[in-house]
Amino acid sequence: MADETPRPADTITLTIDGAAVTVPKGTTVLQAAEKAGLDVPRYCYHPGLTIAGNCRICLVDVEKMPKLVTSCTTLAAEGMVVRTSGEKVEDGRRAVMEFLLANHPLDCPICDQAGECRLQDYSFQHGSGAQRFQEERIKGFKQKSVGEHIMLDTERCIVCTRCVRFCDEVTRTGELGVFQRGAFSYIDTFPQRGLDNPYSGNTVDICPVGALTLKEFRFKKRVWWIKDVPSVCGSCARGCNVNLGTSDNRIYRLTPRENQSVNKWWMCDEGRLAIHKPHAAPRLRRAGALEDGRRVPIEHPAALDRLAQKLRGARPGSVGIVASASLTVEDLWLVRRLATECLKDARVVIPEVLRGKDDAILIRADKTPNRRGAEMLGLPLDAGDESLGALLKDAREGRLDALLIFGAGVEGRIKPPAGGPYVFAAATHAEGAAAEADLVIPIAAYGEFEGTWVNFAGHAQRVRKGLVPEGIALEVWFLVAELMRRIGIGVRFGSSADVLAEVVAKNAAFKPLAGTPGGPVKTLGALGAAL
Amino acid sequence: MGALNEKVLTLNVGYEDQTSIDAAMKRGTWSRLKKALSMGPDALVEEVKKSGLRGRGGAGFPAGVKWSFMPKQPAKPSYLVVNADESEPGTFKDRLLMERDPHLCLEGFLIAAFAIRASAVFIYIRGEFVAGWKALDRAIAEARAKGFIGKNVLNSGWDVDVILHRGAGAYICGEETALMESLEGKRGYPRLKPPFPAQHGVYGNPTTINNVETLACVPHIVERGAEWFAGIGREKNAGPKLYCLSGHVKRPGVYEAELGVPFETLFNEMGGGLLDPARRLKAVIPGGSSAAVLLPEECAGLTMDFDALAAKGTLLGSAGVMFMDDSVCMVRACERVLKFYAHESCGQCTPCRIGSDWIHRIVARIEAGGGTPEDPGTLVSVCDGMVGKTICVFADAAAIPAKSFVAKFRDAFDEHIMRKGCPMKPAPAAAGA
Repeated sequence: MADETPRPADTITLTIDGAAVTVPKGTTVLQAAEKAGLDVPRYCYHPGLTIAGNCRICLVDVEKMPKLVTSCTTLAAEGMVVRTSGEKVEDGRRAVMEFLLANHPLDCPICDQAGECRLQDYSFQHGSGAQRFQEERIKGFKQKSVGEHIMLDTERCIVCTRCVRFCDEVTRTGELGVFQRGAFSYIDTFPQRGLDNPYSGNTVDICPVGALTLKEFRFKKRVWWIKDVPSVCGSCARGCNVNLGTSDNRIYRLTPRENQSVNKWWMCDEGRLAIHKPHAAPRLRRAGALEDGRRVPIEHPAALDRLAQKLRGARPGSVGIVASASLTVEDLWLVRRLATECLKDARVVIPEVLRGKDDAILIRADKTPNRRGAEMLGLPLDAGDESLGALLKDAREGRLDALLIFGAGVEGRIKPPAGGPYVFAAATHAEGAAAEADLVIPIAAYGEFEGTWVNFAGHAQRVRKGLVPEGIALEVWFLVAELMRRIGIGVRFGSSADVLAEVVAKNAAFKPLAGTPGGPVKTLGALGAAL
Repeated sequence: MGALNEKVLTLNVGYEDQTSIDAAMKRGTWSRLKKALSMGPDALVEEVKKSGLRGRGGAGFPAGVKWSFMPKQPAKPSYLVVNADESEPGTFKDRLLMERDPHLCLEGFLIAAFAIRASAVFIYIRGEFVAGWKALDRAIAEARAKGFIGKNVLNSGWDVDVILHRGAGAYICGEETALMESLEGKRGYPRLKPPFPAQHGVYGNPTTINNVETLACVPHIVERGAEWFAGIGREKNAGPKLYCLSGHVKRPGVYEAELGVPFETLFNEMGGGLLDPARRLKAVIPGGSSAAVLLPEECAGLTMDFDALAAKGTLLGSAGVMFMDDSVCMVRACERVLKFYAHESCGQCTPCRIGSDWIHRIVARIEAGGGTPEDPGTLVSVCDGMVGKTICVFADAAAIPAKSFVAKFRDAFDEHIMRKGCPMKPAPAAAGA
């Protein structure tokens, strides 16, 4: 770390709006202003892309320079005196705003970007409020599908080329280009090509205006009703940091949240769109028991009592547990305690979920967000379904008294034999094994539970809830704790944070999370912590 | 400092056979390359610096100084780019040189390439210049056959290649960094500077870019010396210069004179005065359409050089001198100039992308009779929003002339607005009669 601390010789001190700012050499004026806590307006500048310098809104006044300069392209220099406001600067920005709005349609009332639009924001801060442009506006494509998920409105576009640079520099797929010239310039895909790289949704996020919209989100919700809940994506072992865009107890969209040590500014489309993927069966809303081949509703305390009774009567070594590596560290910690402390020689199997290949950007073939967490708890994943196969074989051959299935994502791969062991499923939807289990208890789905996931690189992060669960869905750690209590192990946790505290206290691998007065959850904060 | 009493750059353009290497060599072309090779790069740069040669593409930057920015011990290949994308409205001097004396041009290119230790010369020629392209293409082949291009040029140990590249019809590709982008096969967007071409030019390598006419001066400097060159013209404005006369003059064309030739000499002696002597000179655009327009009274006694024109708030630019008599509607002339810039803005920077189109549409509306009293003020203010706020100077090239038209011919704009149309346009009935 010491090497990263800039030595005085590698730093520059300049004055921005009267305050001295010291930054490393190679820092731009815009970045230096940011460091000084100033918000210089920008459209084309994005920290994750090369500098284009084309929008010209970030103009600042630098002493001894005859003209205004773009702060995104100007390197900070020793002794430089910069003003980010003042009449000259405001005149320049007002002119740029007027140009940007000259041909811009006044369709804010139906534009999805309204409310989080930099044209609106900067118009308010730097615009003139008056319209001098008397000419007919230039027409463009109002809704052009440029990809499976992306809609383009070239009339709203300000040709900042963020999306073009994203496809050139981040995904290196180069689907987008600028066509025509001058005022008629527009963004489009190259002929015969679609914007269908696996990261296409990011172009929508970085579009500073409403030109690119996500088909899955457009016209669904005004953004000022949306409350962003910082969380983590659960679609692969990367664990991209996201915001859950919630409103009326629904997630309307997932957007990436910057975390330089995990996902930078981006996320993949698969993760982004997972919340929009339909399920085969409806959501489980309450516990149910199978009686005479029919599903009968049951209160969940009674269901837990019934399950505890079954487990108490099981022969040693005759209980199988299938858990998902999408469960949190807290969930899995208690599953492991259940298996080792409450049940005699219960076997825990955590199936792998692999699909595709790791790519050079974010996507991991491992589709479970907490594989490393499971491994650190001593629950290695079952490669190639070997243990799962053995477990099911035992079930078929009558050696298993009970089979417990915890968690979303793996139920579909388990086919317990008819007339075999007693099958319990904790699931979100009535699909796969959960549809036929002797007993089901609904559990919280993504967005409804809180806990810790450890990504493939050992970065622990907090997945948070923004929704109230439907029906009586329980969080898995709570369900397991209740079950343990009923079997006779006195555990008492008020929240998943309490469970994590126990994990940190008892498992050396999680020690790095200890020591903060606020507890391990505080240590994890918004950006997580390396283990 | 003095007048040019001979032809230098255009000495041989009248010979039909000058495009062939043997004829050109008989007239002395290619004799200077050997001398240049014997002088060595540093001495050449010094000589050109001493000559006071300033870039003929429009900016007037001292050529020798530009060359001296190139690395002396290059870690990467260095390149010379020849800007032959002559597209400034009213300009046709490079075209004449390339079509009629391609060997002079090529000799200049190679001497310059040697001076900056370049391993390749990229000639970016305007796509529409078919005759110039053919002439240069042939000249390159002939020069290669004679050993002027290739490995170990004239046993000097210097290897050089020449690549002739045709543009595809964008004015902005005459801007030096947009030209480099285009040469690399990309969209012709001007680059952010710094880095400047001498550090990061074509393919990221050190590059010097010069105009054709600039480089055509170089063999003469090598042959006759820097002092001879510096003795022509005016203080800080040295050497022979090609002027392109067009518009309402009796004899339009390319004329060679000393840099800083008096306006009257150019207009009366060379151009032969107004096409229709019964008319009155109304306006002069002195340096291609990007230059602010001048009133006749501003031209009186004016020397046509970089500094004298800059002092008048305009440019020598590419020395495309356009004369307009009193039959010209200045609003219509302004509209035509702005139409060009609206069409040619690359669209990269916001102020230019929108502004160049907006100012054209205001003027077009005034000309068509839809002007309002606020329009001239709005026009000037929009121009102010464009000037100095973009990556390259294209926005200035559109906005500054526009402002000059309004400032100098405000009456014409007001009359259009008041009468709701062009007072100079014959009424449709009269036109039909």
